[in-house]
Amino acid sequence: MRYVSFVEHLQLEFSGNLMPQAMVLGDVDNDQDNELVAGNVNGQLMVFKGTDTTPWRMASGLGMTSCAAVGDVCNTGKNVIMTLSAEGWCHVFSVSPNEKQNKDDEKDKEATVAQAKGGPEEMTPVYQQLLAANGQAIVIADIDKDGKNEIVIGYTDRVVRAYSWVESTSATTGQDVLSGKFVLLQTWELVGQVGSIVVTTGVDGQTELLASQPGCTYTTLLMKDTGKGEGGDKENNEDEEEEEERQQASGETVIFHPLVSSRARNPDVSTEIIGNLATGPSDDAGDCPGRGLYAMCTLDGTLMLGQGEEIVWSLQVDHHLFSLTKLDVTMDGKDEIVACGWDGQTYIMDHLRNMVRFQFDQPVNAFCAGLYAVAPGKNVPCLVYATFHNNITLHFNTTLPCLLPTTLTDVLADKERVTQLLQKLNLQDADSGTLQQLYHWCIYGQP
Amino acid sequence: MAAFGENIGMYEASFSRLPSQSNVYGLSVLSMPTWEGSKLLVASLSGGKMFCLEYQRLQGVVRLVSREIHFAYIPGDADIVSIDSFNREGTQPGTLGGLVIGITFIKDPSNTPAQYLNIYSAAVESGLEYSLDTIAQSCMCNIELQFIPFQLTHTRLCEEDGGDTVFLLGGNDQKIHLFRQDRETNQFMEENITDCFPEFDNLPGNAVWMDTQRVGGHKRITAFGCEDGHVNVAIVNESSKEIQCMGGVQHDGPITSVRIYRSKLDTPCPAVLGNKAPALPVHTTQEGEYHLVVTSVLELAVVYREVMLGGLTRQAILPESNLYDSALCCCVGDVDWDGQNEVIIGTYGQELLVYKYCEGSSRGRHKSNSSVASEKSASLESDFTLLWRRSFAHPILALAYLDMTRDGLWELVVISTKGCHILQHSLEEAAGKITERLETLALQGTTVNGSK
Repeated sequence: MRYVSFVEHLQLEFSGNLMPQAMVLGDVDNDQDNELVAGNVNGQLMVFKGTDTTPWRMASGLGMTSCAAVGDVCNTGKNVIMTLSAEGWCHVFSVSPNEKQNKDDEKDKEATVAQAKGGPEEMTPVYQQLLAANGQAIVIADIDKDGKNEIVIGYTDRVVRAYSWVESTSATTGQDVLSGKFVLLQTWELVGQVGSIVVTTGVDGQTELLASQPGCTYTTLLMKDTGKGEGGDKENNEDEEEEEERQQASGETVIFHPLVSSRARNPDVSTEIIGNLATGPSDDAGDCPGRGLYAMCTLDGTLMLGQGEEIVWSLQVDHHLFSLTKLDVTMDGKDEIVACGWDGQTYIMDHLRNMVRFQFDQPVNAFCAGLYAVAPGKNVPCLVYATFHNNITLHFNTTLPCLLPTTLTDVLADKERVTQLLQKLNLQDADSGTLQQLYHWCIYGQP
Repeated sequence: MAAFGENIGMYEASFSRLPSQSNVYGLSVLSMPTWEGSKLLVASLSGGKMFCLEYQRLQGVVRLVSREIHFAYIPGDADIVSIDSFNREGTQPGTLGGLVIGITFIKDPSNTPAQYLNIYSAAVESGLEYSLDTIAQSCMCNIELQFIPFQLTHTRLCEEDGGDTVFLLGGNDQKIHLFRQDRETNQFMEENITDCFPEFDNLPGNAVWMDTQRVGGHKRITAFGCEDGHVNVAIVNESSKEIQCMGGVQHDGPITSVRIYRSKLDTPCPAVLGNKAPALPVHTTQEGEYHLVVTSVLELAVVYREVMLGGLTRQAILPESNLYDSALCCCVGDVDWDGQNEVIIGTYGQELLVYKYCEGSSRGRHKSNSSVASEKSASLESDFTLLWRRSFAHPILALAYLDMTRDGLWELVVISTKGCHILQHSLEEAAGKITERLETLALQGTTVNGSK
């Protein structure tokens, strides 16, 4: 099994504990550089930017923050931070980038330094609203194909609610305050606890809303008014669907996928899901084999890649996997799956089941992986671990040339030109020892 | 090489964790017969655990495999101090007779410490001379030491002394001890060191690191560094045991390692190429080719150039090598593939530093003898340049540059306090270089055939 070690890291000052979904990477100030947002259980929200190990922006009094998300919730074309407290309050923060009015760079730097010394800038929410309590998973996406983003929240009472932002008709009162409100769009009642919710492109190319269910299974959540999608499903599984339809005349909006061959050891174990795994730039060509891929992990150590109703691969590890994200570690346009266990063991896997492991040395409170701008203007892949010791370790530049270990012999065997040249030299039948000597001499022996 | 730019394109191919920290004497490269490939033996400091690391090919995929080897007669509470291994000569001259592994350890370190040297080797011609598990179970001898052991190393004696390979062990009694296998009893016995190594008589301090190199013309270079900062180098005539010259310098602070190296490395042309390859210039080992790297705890790491000609007078510093805590280890290898060896330093400050010798300044020095002084002061700053550096997550304890993957391309092995990192060169760059060289060869081959 291949292990790696990552070196470059930042140690960010963060106090208190946080919920697994209350830490997220995203561009909060709309300057194309990603920041890190983390909210603790004491109502503090911190935003980290660049190499500064102290918070760049801060807010407090938010209650026990259970999840945080960055996205264009209000459909204004700008990203905002949205946090959700266990008490049900949602807070929306609009963050403005560092002011760059001073054209003189040095002055600007001084100003930033002075600002840094003065402590983080306080943020005040531009909007807050009391929604249902005990939300534990959030996703911001356009789920009803109306071109506007909705928020979908999973609750601990096995209910998933979708809200959409409705702007009030009255004139806007100013930039600092948003006018409008979140309106309940749809409610789904599920059988089991929701681990995480994800919006993904299905096998048929349609956007799907998936919620993970205990025991390494998931549920597709359908919109009430998407008649076409439902119709297609009916045609595929007429018998089952019709039975269910009769039982619930109100119209089925929840399709449970039991994944019968799932190897989950415990049917009640909590499960995380991710979708929309990029499978390379060839996606646009139309039909591509990687469409509709999703991955799931469970707390008892099942890692699974699925496509539609089929399991591409699944495996068991002996660590408690509580967080699952995607990240293009090899920089080849394909997303790798990154799963993290409570003890810091991190698995990086590609679609072909090649695995690399990284051991983070402390127990992990929350984990996320994604892009973060360590230097302005460049987002780099990173792994973020929140520990139980009042800090967040952000490993950046976590890239690997490949997941599978290879040797020079393998690389050269794939090169046609080398094969031709070896033939010319009458070495096409040379054994590995001879080739080893030859290659060694080619590299180290000078002509 | 221009292609490398600011970085010589090495990345971490594998990392293998150790259950407890190793030390600067904890890495030994096992010299296996060619078909076995290179293996590493790494000691884990507490608990007496030893790990064998090697690349194995399973279902077409290479993997770094780490396996614990249980060596007999090492108690569970022992602290391993140093390990070393060599390939002994077989019954027929010129053949190899199997691995010999030496391990020094301190038994019961907290209460009544006792130090031992254990030597392991499988029976000659048993067919298991390279089976680590067999070797680990056949302890040839268990020698109690009356001193705290330091570095364990080995060297080959000259033909006049029997041509045996012997263990050399530094100790805290200001002595270096020699252990040699008795031909009749097969037991390793301590012998008087000054019989074969007169340069080790009356050491100025406790030698923490030593290195010997046999040179043509029955000469041997010996270098050692002491706890008190003393570095000594001696040129000895092996057959007459006459010390031809010997010199020492005093550094501030303990020495961590010394290593004798040559500026170039010999890469024999593979036999398969035959006359297809351009004839190599007949290589004569020149005395000016031998240099000495010295790393110390407090000071900059330095290279004493041309030790056979000028002793320890031509000092060249390795810039910035003191910025990352103590430099603990060094190794030498041609990591940029230009035929010249680079000096690689590992520091406790978690940095790996690669230095390249600049030809320009040395040429200038030979040109104008009149301004030797000014040239020399200039050369102090510019002889070596920092070619590449890489940070690690843990302090670096030991280094080696060798072919682990059996593909002709060497890997850099870095032992840190947490485990063993294998750095691999960029395979695409290597493939490019090989294609280039093969193109030239093919071209030469066709012209040769055409002329025939």
